Amino acid sequence: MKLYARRWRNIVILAVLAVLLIVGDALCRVSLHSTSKILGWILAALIVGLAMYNVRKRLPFLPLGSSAAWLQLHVYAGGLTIVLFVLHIGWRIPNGAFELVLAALYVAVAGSGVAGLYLSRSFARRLTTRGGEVIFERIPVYRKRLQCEVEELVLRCVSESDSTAIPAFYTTRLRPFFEKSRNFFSHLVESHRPRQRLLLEIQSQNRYLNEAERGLLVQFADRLRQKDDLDYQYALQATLKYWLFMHVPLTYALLVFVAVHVLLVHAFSGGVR
Amino acid sequence: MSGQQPEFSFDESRYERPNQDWICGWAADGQACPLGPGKNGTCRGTYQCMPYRKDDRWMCARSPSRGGKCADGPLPDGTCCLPIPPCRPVRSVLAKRKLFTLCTFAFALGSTLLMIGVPQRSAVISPGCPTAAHSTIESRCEVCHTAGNSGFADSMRTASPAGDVMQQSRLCLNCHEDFGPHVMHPHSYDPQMLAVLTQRINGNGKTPDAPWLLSTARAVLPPPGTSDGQLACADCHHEHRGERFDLKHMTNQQCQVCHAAPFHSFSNGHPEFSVYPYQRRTLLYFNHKTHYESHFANFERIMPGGVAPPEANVEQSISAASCFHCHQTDPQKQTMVFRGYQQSCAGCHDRQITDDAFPAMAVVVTPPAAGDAASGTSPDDQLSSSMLDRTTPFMDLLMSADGQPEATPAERRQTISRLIADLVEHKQVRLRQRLTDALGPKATPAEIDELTRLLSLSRFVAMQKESADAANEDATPAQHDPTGIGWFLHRDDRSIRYRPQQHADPFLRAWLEVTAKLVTDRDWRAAIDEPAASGAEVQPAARLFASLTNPTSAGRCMKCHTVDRQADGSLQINWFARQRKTYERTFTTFSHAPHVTLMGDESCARCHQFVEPFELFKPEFVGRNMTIQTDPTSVETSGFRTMSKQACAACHKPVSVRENCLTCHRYHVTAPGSGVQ
Amino acid sequence: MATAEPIRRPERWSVPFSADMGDADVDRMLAIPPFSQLDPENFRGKITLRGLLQNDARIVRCQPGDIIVREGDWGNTAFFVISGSVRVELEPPGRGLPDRILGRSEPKRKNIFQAIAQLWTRPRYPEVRDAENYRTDPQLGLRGTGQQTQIYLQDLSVVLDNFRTATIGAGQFFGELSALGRTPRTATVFAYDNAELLEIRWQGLRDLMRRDQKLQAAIDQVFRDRALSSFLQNTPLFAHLNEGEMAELVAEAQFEMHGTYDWAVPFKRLVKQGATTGVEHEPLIAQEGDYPNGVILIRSGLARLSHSFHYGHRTVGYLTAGQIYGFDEIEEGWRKSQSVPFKYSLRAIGNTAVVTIATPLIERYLIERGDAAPGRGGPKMPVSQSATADTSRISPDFVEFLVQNRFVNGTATMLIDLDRCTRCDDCVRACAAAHENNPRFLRQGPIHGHVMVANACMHCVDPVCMIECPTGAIHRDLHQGQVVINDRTCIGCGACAGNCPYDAIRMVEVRGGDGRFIRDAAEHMPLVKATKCDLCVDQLGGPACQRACPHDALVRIDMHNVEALATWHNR
Repeated sequence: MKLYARRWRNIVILAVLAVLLIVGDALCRVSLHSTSKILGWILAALIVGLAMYNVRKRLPFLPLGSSAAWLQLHVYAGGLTIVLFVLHIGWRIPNGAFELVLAALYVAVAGSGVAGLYLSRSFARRLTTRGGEVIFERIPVYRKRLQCEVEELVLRCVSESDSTAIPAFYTTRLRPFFEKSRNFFSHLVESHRPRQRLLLEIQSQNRYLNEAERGLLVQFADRLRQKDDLDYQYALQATLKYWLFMHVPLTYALLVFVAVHVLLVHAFSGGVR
Repeated sequence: MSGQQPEFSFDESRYERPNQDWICGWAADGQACPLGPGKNGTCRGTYQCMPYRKDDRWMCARSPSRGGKCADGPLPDGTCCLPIPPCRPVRSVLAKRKLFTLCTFAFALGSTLLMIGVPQRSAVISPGCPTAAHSTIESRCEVCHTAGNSGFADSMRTASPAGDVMQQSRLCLNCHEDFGPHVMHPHSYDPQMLAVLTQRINGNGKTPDAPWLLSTARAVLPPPGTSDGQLACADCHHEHRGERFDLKHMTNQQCQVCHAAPFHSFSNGHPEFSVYPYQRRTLLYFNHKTHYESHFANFERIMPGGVAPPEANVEQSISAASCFHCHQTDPQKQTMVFRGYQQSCAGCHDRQITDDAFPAMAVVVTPPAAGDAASGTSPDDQLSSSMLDRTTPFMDLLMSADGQPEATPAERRQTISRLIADLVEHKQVRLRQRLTDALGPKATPAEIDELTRLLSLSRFVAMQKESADAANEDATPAQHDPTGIGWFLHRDDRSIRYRPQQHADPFLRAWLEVTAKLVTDRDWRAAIDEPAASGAEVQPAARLFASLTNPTSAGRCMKCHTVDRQADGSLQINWFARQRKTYERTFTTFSHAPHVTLMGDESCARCHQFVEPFELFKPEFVGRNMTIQTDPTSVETSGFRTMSKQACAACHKPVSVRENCLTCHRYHVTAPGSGVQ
Repeated sequence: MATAEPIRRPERWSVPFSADMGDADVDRMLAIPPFSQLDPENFRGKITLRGLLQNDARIVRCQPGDIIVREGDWGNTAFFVISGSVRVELEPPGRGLPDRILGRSEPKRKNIFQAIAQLWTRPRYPEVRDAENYRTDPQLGLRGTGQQTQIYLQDLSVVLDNFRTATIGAGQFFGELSALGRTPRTATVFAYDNAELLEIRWQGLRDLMRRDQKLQAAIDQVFRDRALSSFLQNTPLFAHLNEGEMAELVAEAQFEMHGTYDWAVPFKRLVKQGATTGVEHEPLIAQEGDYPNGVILIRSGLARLSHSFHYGHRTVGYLTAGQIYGFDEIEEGWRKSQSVPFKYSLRAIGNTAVVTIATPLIERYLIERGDAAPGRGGPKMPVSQSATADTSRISPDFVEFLVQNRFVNGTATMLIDLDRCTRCDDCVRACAAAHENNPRFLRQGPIHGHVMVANACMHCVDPVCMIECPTGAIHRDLHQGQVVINDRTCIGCGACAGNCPYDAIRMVEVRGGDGRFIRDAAEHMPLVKATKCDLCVDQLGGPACQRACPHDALVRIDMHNVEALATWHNR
């Protein structure tokens, strides 16, 4: 099955389930049967099920089904929880302190999930377009290597020429750029402005330089492009890794709150259906 | 592979180990030490190799993969010549996330424990503030929740499926105690009665036509409530939804889910008002149509000297003929009540009550005085003898206990003169005795006292004498009572007559009330059919009642007031236009006030329409005095058509004014402490 | 990168097979038949018989029980028994000598409890081994050190009692078929007594055969009798032939080797220099436009199908063992009664062994018996005879990329769709989790378009890594086909890592439980072991990497299942 066909199939299944849920909820509300409990249980079960994906990831050696299948389930079941959640809270913002925190946690987890899904699908594609393929952990190594190369060029310049134009330019403008990953957010939004500005600045140095120095300047520009590409990879890969810093920890917080919520609701319902 | 940026040499690359918790601090420089950090993130870097001793020489043991034996070799003391500077290991991305997750989890656990552990927990765990009415008990969960003050285990047990689902509803009833014995049943109504109502609806054979959601819900889901048909309060009333949440809010479909004959909306499917409200009995004979359309418009001509009723207490400008002349909203703003005789009717009808064009009511006929009798050489001896025997229904009643009907004229005359003496001299004891004897046990002593008091003719006679002496024979044949007590002497027939002075005249009213109690409708009809018949066939009380209720009799009470037969066969006069004894909580409620305010002067006619065509002399008005109403749903109508649902639906349609069930209907119908006004 | 530094063309014998082969040994060899009977006249020019023996052969002295070759091993040498005798084990597959005593890892799948127990039993440090494993194993006989490490059967008499064996005595060759044919050893051979063997590299054997008709004929005959006939009998194309016809086929079949035997190292060198490794480096087996003189069957190795396109060649597909070439043209020619030339060129990728069945035989036995012809209800070809049908669904440049880099060698190549890969490293972590906290691949590799061929063992059809392993530690699992390394018998020589054309084998320094390196007693250097992907052979669910990929980006794919490859590539 082609991927887009699978996507459509799953979306249709999700939509059908969502409509069934909404209609079922409306039916129960009409018949004065409270749906809060049953929706709550389904929601809690789904959230626990979704959180089990994390457990599945820790047990890759067990035949628990492929992670891709889990993710598909995770994404679409996660979508379903949004419907369930909205029905469960009855289309209104809860006004109790505890429940507000619970709802906010859910919204944060679901929101980060949706954002993560978007990132996973769009950034993956963008990563192939620029900067080659770099392993995230090796990015600092490459950056360091580029910096060393540039510094070597500068030293060569110092030894060959008595002009301080290039060393001065390096210390003021280029060193900050090469020292660490830069322009994180520009890269996220695919902005080339910082790169263009620096390249322009390098070019504008031409008028102060002699022939040999100009040759070096071309190499600076080359290293700068490489470094910028590396920053691009860093920005995107880091985002792809760090969105989980919201999604996963908040999920565990959510689970705690869900458990307490279930206990409280159970106790205070006084046996009401 | 070549050509790829950045370059990557596979043959020299080691495995990337993102699974490790700690990464060598030099890894970012591409110079990770071979050994790597320890378990707890400690640097374990020492030297590049561990030289070993061989034949008294220290040998380099650097592995080929790290560059092989070094050129300089170990130092003389056996340490490697290439120390690894200590690093500060860093956590891997995954390890950072693990740590962060752990902290978040711990924080969440701690904060939840804190939330349910602190004494002020009710404010925290409350799922939202209750409605304003309940706000005072917000912090006291135990008022409404069984789990509020019990321990954890207890609350879990009560919440188990086997728990009593009604336990919290009973807590509601601690405050809301007005719902009668069937509080948990639908409508707080006797389930057996409700079954009868349901049976009736089922019997009318209409196929229900309801919105699909409602029909589906009814088809696939069980009805709400427990298996024995009880409903918990929380089934309908959802608390903790904010101060301004309407606890009583229900949708039309929710209302109808139990109902046998559901429908779409008020405008679509709601049953017609088949018997509502104008087949209901009215208590006065009153033709709204004639009053509204002609009398009020032309009262100067019809009732010269009449005065229009004062304006009603409504903001709207009142046209010449306005309902508000006679009706106003009650304090509950529910009904439009009659503003009362004085405001509405007196302007025209007072003069009819005191109208002297009609003969006043003869109470006592005095026999000719002795002198008169002596000069009675008149040719009509017969007449005078009949004059001697004349009595009034009052007298007949008062004499009824005194002598036999078979008595001789002489004896009768004696009896009469004794009565007259009693009356004129107002011998109270004897009068009371007479009344007691004549009225029997049905009259209460208080009533008898009142009647006795009202028959105080002695003062009148005394005044009459004085005036006769003063005026010296020039008195008019009939003259108004100067004392204002209604009594006067009719010189032509020597009768003492009574003319009412005002609406609700005490004398007439007292006698009407007393006689009505003594008379059955059959007696009354007999008395009307044979007005001339002697008391032998017709009871004196009936005769008196008939004469008092005659539309042409003084005061014309029965022109407007109707008579009802009581359960014991006696009669009762409806003195008040509409008497609302209790406001029962029925299924339906209607507030006139907002409608009147909203729609103004035109408002009444929008719903209350006259029966067409216009017939002034409808049978029920022509023969009205002959009618006794026992059926409360029957024809003593006010001339309005049965109200149509369309009148309401013109405004109450889905897009404009709300058409909720609860706009006009109540759910809880029985309120035992129904003094609610 | 591509600074094409001129390299000295390596010469034959610049690196002799064994430095220990002295003149005395050579003289001794030259004195005994069959070497004494060879005509020196045939050895003129560069390749002398003496040089050949000195550089391409070595003397191996065995003690009783020493295992010389194992069934399933890949070797590039043949053996000649100088003195003593060896035994060849004759049991049918599955009943042979147990893996354990042969020094192989036992492919034992973990049960569910063992699998879960990995969660807490896996060490915190990388590459932790139990050093005890390297010391003693009562069942495994190990003697010698370093490159001379030898595995032997401890209880020879029991083995002889329990397993059927045949004796190979002095003066006989063995192992020559798999050495020449690059096929796995078909049987295990061990020393019966203190035998003395001459181990000859396949190049030496080839040259001997070329120069000696008798040897050539003898080995040829043995090859036809054993290998060729069994190959043809197992070819579905000829399954319907009777015994006599099959014998004719075997007798008439032509057998050829193409390409470089040890192609891996030169290939790697070329790749490292950034030179192209394309068509020009691949020997032609059959030329587009030539008239077919028979159908070519691929017996082992890989071959590229291409046709000329403007000034270059366009690759349209690749063939692997069992597939055939040229049938369509012969059939078309038979129907039209005129010769139809080959539509494509066939070139050897690496080393390719082909069998040619002459046109008349094909016409007589396949085409004229219409029912037996492929595609007409007869026996189905293993894969389409013209692999273009399937590869046509893949873009030509991707096919070119796969063939040029020889990734078509893989049976479980790791492909990563970079358009879907979020670089989450779940695959690497899953791999580590399944291998005691050690990843067994690098999530990096050559990229074409959006497809990356990750640096993980592809479990090649032509596993050049296995050729030089001295202990047989790297071997193909006989039951499941994965190429695995027995950590216990690996001596860390790095031969496999050096041979792997794709650098998918990594040498690691192993540690003890405390995270410190395990050092050998003599050199005090960390013990080194070869590691690579084992396709999670001992795990329950199969390759953890593929199952751990959340985004359907990573796949382990058999390059010879073109259908699956095309489907994956076009999804």
